[in-house]
Amino acid sequence: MTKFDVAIVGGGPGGYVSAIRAAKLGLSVALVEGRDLGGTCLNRGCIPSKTLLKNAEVINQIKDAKKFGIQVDSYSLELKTMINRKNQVIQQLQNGINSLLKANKIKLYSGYGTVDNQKIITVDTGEKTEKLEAESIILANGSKPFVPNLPGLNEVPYYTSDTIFDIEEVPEHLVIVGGGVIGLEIACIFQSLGTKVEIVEMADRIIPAEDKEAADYLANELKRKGIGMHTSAKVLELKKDKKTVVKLEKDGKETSLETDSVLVSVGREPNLTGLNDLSINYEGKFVKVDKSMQTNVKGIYAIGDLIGGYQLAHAASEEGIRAVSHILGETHPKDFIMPRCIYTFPEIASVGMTEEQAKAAGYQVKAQKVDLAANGKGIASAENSGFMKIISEEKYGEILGVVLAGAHVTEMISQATSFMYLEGTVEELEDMIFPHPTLAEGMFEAAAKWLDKGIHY
Amino acid sequence: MRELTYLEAVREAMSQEMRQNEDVFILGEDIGVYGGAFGVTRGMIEEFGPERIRNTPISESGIAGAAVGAALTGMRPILELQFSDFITIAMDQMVNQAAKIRYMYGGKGKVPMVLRTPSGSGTGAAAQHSQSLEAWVAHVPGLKVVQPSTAHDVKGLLKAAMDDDNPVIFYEHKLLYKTKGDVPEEQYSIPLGKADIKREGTDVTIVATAIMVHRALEAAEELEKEGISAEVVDPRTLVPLDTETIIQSVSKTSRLVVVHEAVKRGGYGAEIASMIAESEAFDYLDAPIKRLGGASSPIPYNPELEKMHVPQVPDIIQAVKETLNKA
Amino acid sequence: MAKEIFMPKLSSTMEVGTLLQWFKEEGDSVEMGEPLFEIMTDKINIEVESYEEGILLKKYFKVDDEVEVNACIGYIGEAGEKVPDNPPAASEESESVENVQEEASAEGQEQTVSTDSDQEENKDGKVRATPAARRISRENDLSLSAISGSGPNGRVHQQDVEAALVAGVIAVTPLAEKIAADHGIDLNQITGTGARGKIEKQDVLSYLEKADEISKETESEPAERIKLKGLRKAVADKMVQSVQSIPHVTLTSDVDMTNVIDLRKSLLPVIEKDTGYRLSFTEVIIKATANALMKHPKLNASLIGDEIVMNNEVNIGLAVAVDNGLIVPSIKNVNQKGLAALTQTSKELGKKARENKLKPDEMRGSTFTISNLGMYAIDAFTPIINGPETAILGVGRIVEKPVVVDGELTARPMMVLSLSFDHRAIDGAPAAAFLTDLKANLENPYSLLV
Ligand SMILES: Cc1cc2nc3c(=O)[nH]c(=O)nc-3n(C[C@H](O)[C@H](O)[C@H](O)COP(=O)(O)OP(=O)(O)OC[C@H]3O[C@@H](n4cnc5c(N)ncnc54)[C@H](O)[C@@H]3O)c2cc1C
Repeated sequence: MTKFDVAIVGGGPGGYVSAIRAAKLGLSVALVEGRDLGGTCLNRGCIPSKTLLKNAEVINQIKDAKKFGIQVDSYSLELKTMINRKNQVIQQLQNGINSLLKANKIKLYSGYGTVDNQKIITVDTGEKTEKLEAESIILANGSKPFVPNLPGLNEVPYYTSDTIFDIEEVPEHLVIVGGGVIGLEIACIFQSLGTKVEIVEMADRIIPAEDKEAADYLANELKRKGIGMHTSAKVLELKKDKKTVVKLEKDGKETSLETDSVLVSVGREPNLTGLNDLSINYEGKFVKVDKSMQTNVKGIYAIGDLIGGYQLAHAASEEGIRAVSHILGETHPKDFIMPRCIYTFPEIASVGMTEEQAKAAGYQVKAQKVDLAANGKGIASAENSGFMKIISEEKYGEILGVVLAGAHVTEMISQATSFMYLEGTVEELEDMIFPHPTLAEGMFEAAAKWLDKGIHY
Repeated sequence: MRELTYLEAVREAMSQEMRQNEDVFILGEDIGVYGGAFGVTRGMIEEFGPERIRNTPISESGIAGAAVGAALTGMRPILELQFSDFITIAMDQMVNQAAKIRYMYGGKGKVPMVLRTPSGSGTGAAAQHSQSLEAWVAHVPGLKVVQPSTAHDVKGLLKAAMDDDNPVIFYEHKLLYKTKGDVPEEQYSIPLGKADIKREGTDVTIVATAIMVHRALEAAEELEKEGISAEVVDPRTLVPLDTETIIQSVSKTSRLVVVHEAVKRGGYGAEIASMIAESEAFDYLDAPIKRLGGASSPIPYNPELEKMHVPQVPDIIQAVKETLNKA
Repeated sequence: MAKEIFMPKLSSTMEVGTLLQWFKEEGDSVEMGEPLFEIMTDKINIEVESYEEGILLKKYFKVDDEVEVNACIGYIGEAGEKVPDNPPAASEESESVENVQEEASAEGQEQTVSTDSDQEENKDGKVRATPAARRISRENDLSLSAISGSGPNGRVHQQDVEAALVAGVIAVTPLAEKIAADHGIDLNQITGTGARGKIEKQDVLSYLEKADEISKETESEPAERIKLKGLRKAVADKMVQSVQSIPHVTLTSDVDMTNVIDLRKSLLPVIEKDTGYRLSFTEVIIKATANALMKHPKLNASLIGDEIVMNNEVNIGLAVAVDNGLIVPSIKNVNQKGLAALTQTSKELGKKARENKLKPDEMRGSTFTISNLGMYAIDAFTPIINGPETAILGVGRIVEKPVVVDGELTARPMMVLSLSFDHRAIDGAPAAAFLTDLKANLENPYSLLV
């Protein structure tokens, strides 16, 4: 039986990043992956959605070209080519991961693994079973779409994020159950492809975990684009008629939507494959860990979607790095400063606390929002919709959170993250120089306004 | 470029000027056929004739007085004193007449003359023929004082001196006469009052005059090997003094060593040192200012003692190191 | 031949001296009478001048070293002379040691005595630094006194200041800096956990938390911590030594001051006219004490080693509070002085003490000490003996108190005298007899004329 310093179960952004980091720091590493390297993120998540969102963006630009004085008489869509491109992107990135694993001499086991308390992993490669042993194990099993037990759901065809990126025909009508990040991004893709999209969300607003102003702003923008929005609406039942009928209850009234396709995106649940023999503790459905990512079984760590929490690829990676650091004896008492991006049109990006969270945490909060309507670069590129908001505590000007809404904001949130990470305060943000014209200037303006020194606001 | 000796450069400066300016003439002891004590005017009498290369009796006071008179009448005399030590005899003419007339007559008269004279030790000429008395004349308002250190500088500075409407005391160092350097053929003028940075450096400023410029450069070369970067500033003219260049240099390097051959006590180095202490460079000083000068004794005849009397390269090196706490 | 330099013995109680600074480096030439080094004794800081001329060949001790008196601390001689690598063993009171003392005290006028707080200021003002070093430290709000100079005689150069600046640069995030500033925390006290030791918010908060815990443990956080040093330390050491080695007994007695008040009233203008100084009760008490001491010489004795030394002179030490401690100038031959001379001497010494201008001689040789707290609302206290003396008198305030005089209750200006004595040298009875006589002297001051 081969023995490793660390064995990692799951080759998603949590698992493979941990593996490389551990190897770089001199540990012998095994990585067990039952399906595709890159996990959800690369194969069925971040990357496919971002690839197709790019297609959607191009379509939107063509549609918008007229207002820039460019007449595009006609265009047609080839879904097949789009999906192929997506697959090529995945392939390229997967090859990249593969060669990184090789370069770092990480032993890859292809097959599902079963882990026991003695830190022995049994891998079923299809042809045979292999056993390996490790000092420490990092569980990075990830998650899969949660499919709720809705009456009639099994009688109708439906998509999840696992299947929809391989769709063969552009549907005429798509009802998305669940107005979270995944649902909204897919809504934007199909809206651009010409599908009539309707979102059904049980809560009173979409993306309920995000800043309310951002959520309201995004809801309005999506509605303006023609996406149907049913909030505080509960799916009662699905029925197969000629089409699929989705019965809803909204404001105490029953309505129904007729559609030719349905996407279920109401959340994700952990992959618990191979964890049955372990006496690890759970918190709800997810594996419970401490600040160092260790489970109650010493030497067994869990990270990423498996432990719930942020459910973001970079969160999974960072948690994995933290687990490796802990294995090597380092401790990281610091809290994560986690950026969160939503790649809809327009985009929403945020980091740190929302205004509501900051207040709940007992801070003397002062938030300042600056609208991008007057932003020079925004106007020049007809992308001046959105806002930038700084959530700070009053005494020291500590930046507790930043919310950005508008075009390209996912590329700008890292500025805010840097500031928070390096513990800059509103004063330094105001003092620093932003190039003109850029959308990012909004951040300076928000800081200046926060200090009552605004130039344009 | 063409090389000339310092001596040839002096001669060329005068000859070129005399060819184009009828008012310029030279007077002095034995400057005619003999060519002067050091041979500076050798051959000039052949070109310009005895009218313009005038031999005089041995009477420095008389020569100086004649020059002042000639200058007052519109001539531009150059007078040569065989040894700068003898300026003492010409002193009344220079100090009380030449230096004062333009001032006392409200500018109605002027004294455009150059007193050229060899100074310094190193030739075994003993106590009465080796001194550096430039501080005396530098003390007198109305006189300009020039101390060129290279062949190039001496030609340009002499042109400027001849062009100047005021009496100029022009010190030529005896040991420099034979030194060579690139000298342009055409006439050129180096303005009086413009110092020259002979070598750039960052750690210490050495302000050196005349022959000491060369010793300072040699010292700087040695110091460089030990990682000490010395800047060598040659003021070139003591009056007027280019304070700006020195102040800037000292502000940059934070250390100052002043080197001259004249006796240290009451020497011009004291003027430079106090000028720096009074200037904005003060706040940049990071070590006490050092002065190197001649010993407080007459110049000895014994060649070894004569050498010891004045600063030599090792002395400069030592002084620099002291300012850097590396001695 | 090279001459030894000794740690001088500047008072009968001095056992060690602390080297505060050397004014010369090895190899420097030294003139006779030039200050050579500065020491701190149990009483004073003093510059010691050289009694030899030549080259300082050897320094065996460095700043802050404590050196026993009469120990050889260095050599002066001619350049190149050989001297031992290690200090020779401390010599017994040899001839040359005597000489050092003589020299040191003869040069008394030049020797300055100062309290420690003053000392620091002086040093600050006297820092050797180049103009450039001064400019840069000025621009950076850096105190030159905190910088050690690399130049000759410790001269501070630009590079020293720059090095100090670099060393002083603390990596801190803006937020952490603000929080620390807000709580008045010196960042030097915080260890940063960020990249390359950068101080982050959490580090400041942890520090605050810890400080909080400590202050909870100690109930209240002291406003300031002051290190015992200089005069304060000298006083502290002396007090501990006295209390630990001397069995103190304190007697108190009430004194009716009516007649002293009258006496003072009548003599005040006379003495003021005579000396320009105002007679105070202190001088009358000193006079009365000296008188009593003459009658009770045991109380005027010193206990040195295992000998009781009966002193010929009656020299009374007067405890004077100065900025950072306590100094005891000594009034010589009190028994031979009238009230006018006493007033003048005691006023002048008091002034000098407060201005730190006392000469060592003026602080030496007391045989009995008086500590007067009469200007405060203090009646009696237990004064600590100023060794090697054997007794000390504490003087309380004069306050009207009800007393029974001739069977009638009346108010009289009363004062409590507290006499502490060394029970090794003096027993209770003689001490009591002394105090009783002293009380009688004060209640009938005219007896002093007898
Ligand atoms: C449509 C969509 C869009 C998304 N977009 C973004 C985005 O833009 N940005 C972002 O940050 N996040 C995004 N996410 C979330 C992101 O994909 C996940 O947070 C991330 O993939 C979690 O990484 P992980 O390593 O924890 O798990 P996963 O990526 O789920 O990887 C787990 C891997 O473990 C393997 N595995 C499980 N059990 C075993 C076993 N017993 N033995 C062997 N192998 C096993 C699985 O096959 C899988 O490959 C998106 C998700 C979806 C669905």
